[in-house]
Amino acid sequence: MPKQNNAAGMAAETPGSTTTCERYSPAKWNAVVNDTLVPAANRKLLVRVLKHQAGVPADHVLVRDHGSEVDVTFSDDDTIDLAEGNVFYSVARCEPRPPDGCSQPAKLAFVVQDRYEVTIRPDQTRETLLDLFGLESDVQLYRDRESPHDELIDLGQPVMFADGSSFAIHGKRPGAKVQISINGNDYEIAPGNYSVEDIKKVAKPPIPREDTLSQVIGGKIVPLAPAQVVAIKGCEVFVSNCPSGGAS
Amino acid sequence: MVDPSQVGALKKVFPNLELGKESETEFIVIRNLLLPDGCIPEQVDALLCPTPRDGYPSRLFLSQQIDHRGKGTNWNAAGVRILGRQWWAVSWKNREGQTLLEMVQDHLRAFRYESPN
Repeated sequence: MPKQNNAAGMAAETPGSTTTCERYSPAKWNAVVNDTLVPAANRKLLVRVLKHQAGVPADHVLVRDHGSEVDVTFSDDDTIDLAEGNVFYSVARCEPRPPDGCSQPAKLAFVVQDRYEVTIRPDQTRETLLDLFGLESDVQLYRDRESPHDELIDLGQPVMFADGSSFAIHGKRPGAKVQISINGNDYEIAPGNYSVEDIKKVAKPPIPREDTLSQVIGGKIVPLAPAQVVAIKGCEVFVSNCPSGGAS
Repeated sequence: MVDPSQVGALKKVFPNLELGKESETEFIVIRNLLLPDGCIPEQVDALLCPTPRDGYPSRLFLSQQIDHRGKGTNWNAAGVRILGRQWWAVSWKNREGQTLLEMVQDHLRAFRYESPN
């Protein structure tokens, strides 16, 4: 069952969950201004501040992008709420602007690892957000907060734009497998420490005990001692052979 | 003809790989091959002849003669011209029927120090 935040922003304990109550720091926010990602100090900020941080010329006005003919124009003294839409563009003040009255939803830029994708749907889930960014489903997705303790987004958990636009990835979910290569063939195994004998058994068919297993490190073939333990994190490359050559 | 799947496996370990052919013999050039510890220089280009040549089931040529701590001390190919370049090789006999990856690993043993035990 997904976690629900109460009014105090605390992750409340839900039936069946093992999570204890935690207090989260405010979520980080970003804006996209003229197709450039700009970190924002707060969810609500003065237009003047955002313009300056985005390098928008003083003689331009900021417009929130609703993908329509009548996007919302702001004056420099206005306060904008990024939760209502965080994609903007600027136009010269002198350019005629249509009267306000936009009825289209604002564009929303979700940001994962400093990369943004734009949608108009504020209600996502962990899975739809990963799909939007073309990310593997076995990553650990966190809502990026103003503290070292980011909020882990659980499987199936709703992800509302209004709760913050910025996300980070910290490794793969526990239990997720990683890929290694043995003699040019790819295999998926759980990360962790493996003996040389264990790695030999991963290969199909298994590598004979008497064969030498080597790891390719930085492009160099490095033979592994039979008693050696290798920390598998993913993308390790191994080769094996039955030593046979000799000077002649 | 060299087995493409074996070339693919070799390329996973040695990305800078090229195939060449001379007088109906196929060769594999491995650019910037990192040699075993103790070799000077540490890195050279290598040329694998995966088919029988000079009485050997296969041969690994290097773009220069190197200093090393292995048992391959008889440089019996010096400045051999193949594919427009000169190559050097030690006398090192590996077994027949190896994959390309096994060949390269075996030939590199000629330059690797291995303790007597």
